[in-house]
Amino acid sequence: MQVEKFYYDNRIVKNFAFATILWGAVGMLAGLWVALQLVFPSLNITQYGSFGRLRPLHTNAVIFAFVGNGLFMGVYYSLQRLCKARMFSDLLSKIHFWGWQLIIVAAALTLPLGLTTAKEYAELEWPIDIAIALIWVVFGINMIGTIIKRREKHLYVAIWFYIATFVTVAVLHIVNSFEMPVSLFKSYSWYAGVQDALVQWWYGHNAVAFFLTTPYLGLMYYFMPKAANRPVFSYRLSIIHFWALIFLYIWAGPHHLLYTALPNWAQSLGVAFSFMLIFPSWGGMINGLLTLRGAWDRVRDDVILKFMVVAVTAYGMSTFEGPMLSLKNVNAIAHFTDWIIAHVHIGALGWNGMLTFGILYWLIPRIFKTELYSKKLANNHFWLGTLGMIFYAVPLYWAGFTQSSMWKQFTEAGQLKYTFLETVTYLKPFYLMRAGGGLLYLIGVFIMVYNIYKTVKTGSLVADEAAEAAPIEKEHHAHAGEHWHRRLERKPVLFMVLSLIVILIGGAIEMVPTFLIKSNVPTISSVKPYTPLELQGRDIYQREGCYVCHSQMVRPFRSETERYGEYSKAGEFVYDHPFQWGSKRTGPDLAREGVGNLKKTDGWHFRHFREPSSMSEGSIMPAYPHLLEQTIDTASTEGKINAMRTVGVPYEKGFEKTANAVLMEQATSISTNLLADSIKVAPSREVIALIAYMQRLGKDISKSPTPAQNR
Amino acid sequence: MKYMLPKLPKIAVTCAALIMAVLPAMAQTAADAAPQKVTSPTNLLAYLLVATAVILAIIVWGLGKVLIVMGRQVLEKSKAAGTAVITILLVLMAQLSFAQTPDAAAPVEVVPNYGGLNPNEFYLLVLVIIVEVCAILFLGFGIRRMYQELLPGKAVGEPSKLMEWWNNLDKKIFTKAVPVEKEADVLLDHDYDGIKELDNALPPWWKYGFYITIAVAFVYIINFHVMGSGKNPSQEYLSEMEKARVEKEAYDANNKDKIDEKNVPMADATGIATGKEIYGANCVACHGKLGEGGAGPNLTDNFWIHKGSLNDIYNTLKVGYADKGMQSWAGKFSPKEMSQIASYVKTLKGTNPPNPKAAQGDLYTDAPVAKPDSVVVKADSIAVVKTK
Repeated sequence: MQVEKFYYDNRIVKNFAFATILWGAVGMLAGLWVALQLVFPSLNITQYGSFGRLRPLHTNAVIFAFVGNGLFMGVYYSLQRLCKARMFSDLLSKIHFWGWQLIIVAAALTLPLGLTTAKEYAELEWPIDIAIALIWVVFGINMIGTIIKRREKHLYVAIWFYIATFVTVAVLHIVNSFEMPVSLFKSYSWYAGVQDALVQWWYGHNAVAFFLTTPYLGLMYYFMPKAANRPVFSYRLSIIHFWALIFLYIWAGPHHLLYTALPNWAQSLGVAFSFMLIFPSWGGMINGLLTLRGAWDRVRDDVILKFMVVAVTAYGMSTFEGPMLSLKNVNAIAHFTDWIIAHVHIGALGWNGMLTFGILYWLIPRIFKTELYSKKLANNHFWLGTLGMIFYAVPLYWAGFTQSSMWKQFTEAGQLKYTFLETVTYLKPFYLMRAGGGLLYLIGVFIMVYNIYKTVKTGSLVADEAAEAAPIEKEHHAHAGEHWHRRLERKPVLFMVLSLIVILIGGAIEMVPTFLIKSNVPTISSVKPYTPLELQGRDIYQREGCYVCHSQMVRPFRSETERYGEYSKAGEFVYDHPFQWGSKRTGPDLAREGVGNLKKTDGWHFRHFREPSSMSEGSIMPAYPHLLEQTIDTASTEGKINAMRTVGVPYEKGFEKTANAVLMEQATSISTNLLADSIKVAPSREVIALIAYMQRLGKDISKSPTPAQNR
Repeated sequence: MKYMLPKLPKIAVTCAALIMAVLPAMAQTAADAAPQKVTSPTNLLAYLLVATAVILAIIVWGLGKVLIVMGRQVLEKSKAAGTAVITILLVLMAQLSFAQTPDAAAPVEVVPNYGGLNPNEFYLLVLVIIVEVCAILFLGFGIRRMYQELLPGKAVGEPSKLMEWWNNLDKKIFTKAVPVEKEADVLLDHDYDGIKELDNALPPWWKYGFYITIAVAFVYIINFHVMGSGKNPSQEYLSEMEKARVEKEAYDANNKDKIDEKNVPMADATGIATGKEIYGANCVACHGKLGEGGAGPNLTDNFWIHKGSLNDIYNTLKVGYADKGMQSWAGKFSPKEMSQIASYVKTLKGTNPPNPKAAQGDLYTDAPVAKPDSVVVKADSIAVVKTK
């Protein structure tokens, strides 16, 4: 067979590598900043820099900009070499790269402006969602095209993970981003309440699984044996853990919604499948670590291997912790606390961060045909990163566990021992320590930036790296005793279809019944759509990112019903597009803020929004003085009512025409109310709408004579 | 491993120093929290933790002794050989760990005096146990090193019984992997950009672990959704509330100071001071630092929205008027505490603070019967205010 000459495209790899470094530094800097905001609320500078808007910026930057570019870097480098082919199309590579960077810039602009869908890790508004889908498809075509024109007969395990990543992320993103546009920068989720929550966490959990985990497992399978120069430990283990992982992962989403109003059967499936995930996840870890058998003596000298070992170990730790956190009794303690933040950072700082750094140190000198500028600096980076990770996580584990037990403690007289605020102020020192850990980690990153800058300066990019290989023989003669899976590895399209089927099963079994069987969400007749003013207030609530710190989900625990009131029922949320259950209680739950013991006067809310610490001394909530100045966007009311009606909220026909009059009437009554409390504020101010929404929370069910039980 | 050795003592010193610094502070916080009530189930936990800590401390002590003895032997043996530095470090390490033992164990003996188990004590115990476990691992590692030093002639290539046992275990339970030297036997003909793959079997612990989790998952689902024997969240909730109700009843039965809205005694000076303290932490946001009012009404004038006798104020605290923004405090404060707050509020009348809020509600004057009482109290309250 004639050997063909061709060139690997290293320029695209370099571009993605530089992008991951840049956005990594930016995203982690944002993380450090929001961490400090939790200790010093005065760092919430202007509405554009408040915690509720910057925290999504941090998560989006780290996940989609840092890890995203990191995985593209690794895929573009390894895929070409594993397929013995240049990328399918240089043009598509360029569109992919620049398109992705534009999306990131769009995110960095829109999130501080408060343009958000208020669904965690999917906050970007609909035009950007469409752009993401398009660019993702470009990436897919480029990848599949390369695989099709490959010169290597079989697909290596890394490529299986890339394929699964591509199909699953496409499905997740498209299904979760179904939304009804109101204007260019505003939309409502197509789903409501319980259904929205299920779809969102099916997405949210599998964003972790298929954006942060599977592509990085692929990278591990390429770069770890390369760096260690050792054969992969077990081919059979790769097969079983790959298929088990992608099949089981997709079911696990409901473990983010344990003890909520989600139907019990879905919660149980979430628990059971999360538990089964331990070993498929660990399959990846041990296949990585055992690959180093016979090379452990090199691990202590080779900084790249050190990064990789810590990454894989962190992966093992967090994938053991994850299933443990999915057990109901552990979840009852950890959910809504900083424990979860610590857990995800072991994954992000340890697994994604350390592996990305290891790959960068390995790959940059190679594509620049030079040596790493300083091994010593890389070593310093390694220790700063590892220690930073520990100093980040340990205080947060402690904080999460402590706060949870403070929430749950009763005095002997049967009264809650601590106010919510007491549990918050107690955490401040821990938050400061965590920021210190983050700072160490970030210093490490800056050392890497310098080291890589110096390395790049000493070398020159081999933009097109020459390679040669023979094309695949048309006919294949399977030799006797070949593993059955080999056949699949020769058929990429079949492989893709199979993995698509495998990942669709779990999602479909959990979601379809929730949508089709009515009894899953028992209706409550007293639950009515929001008034136009409340709807505007709810949009402000989302814009300010209140859901980042406040849950709206009272779980059926004595410590929660005593503190917040009756536990939440599925039927309460049928008009909530999107749902606002939240995932973290940096502040108290707000599901019953407008009724019972939590009800406050309009004046209290007004003063609290203007300066939270004036009403709750020691509060770490940002102040919202701009709400007192800005005017409610009444021009949008009509469109919002129409959009809500389209997604199924029963506003009467023609209501959109009178909606603003209704809005003004309610706003005036609140304004009058405030005047009696010696507060002068025009009815048109945004704070009025937000107060109206606060006073509405929990009100419907309090009118219902017999609240429905959750299934 | 040898590379790591010189670093270990340093880490040990730092850890020990840190622990020394932290423990007294933690013991102090535990002491501050001493007058905690004792409940029997938590005591059991305390005993268990203390017992564990004590047992571990004994193990640490024993291992330390062993290590010291071995260390001396190694030192003698190595006088001939040239590895003095490492061995001395090893001994140092051993003594460090040993020195750490009594200190780590010390707070354990103090704990039973507290009896109950508040968070601080719990963390203290857990910390002690963690330190001890670390120490054990550390000592175990040291002993293993010493043992290797002491092996006659450090026979190379002659596997010890321990190694043999380990390899056997490794083969049966852990990796079941083909040894590195023989891995050519399982090397597949796969070659991807130079990456090769071995055909090692699935590690048995992994395989059976996976089977077990699958079985557990099935049992879990069957338990909750087929047999219906597991409690769902609302059932869990009901039983939790029932348990709390029974406990509360038992508490009320033993509770001497029966206070309710029909019978609120005026608190004494200390009680009023407590009331003032609670007021400062919970009420100032709405009623002002001096009771002058803000979001909530002025408490210093003669006008009351829900009447102003001691019993009335107590009742307002107890039930709250949610529609007006007054929450119920019955879930937060005991009847006694609420009577203290009400008593303090009573003392505010006529204090004329700056920036008072305009009067709200109706004029209220105390019934003549209550007069002698309130006069006495007023004197008291002035004393309280003055001393502060």
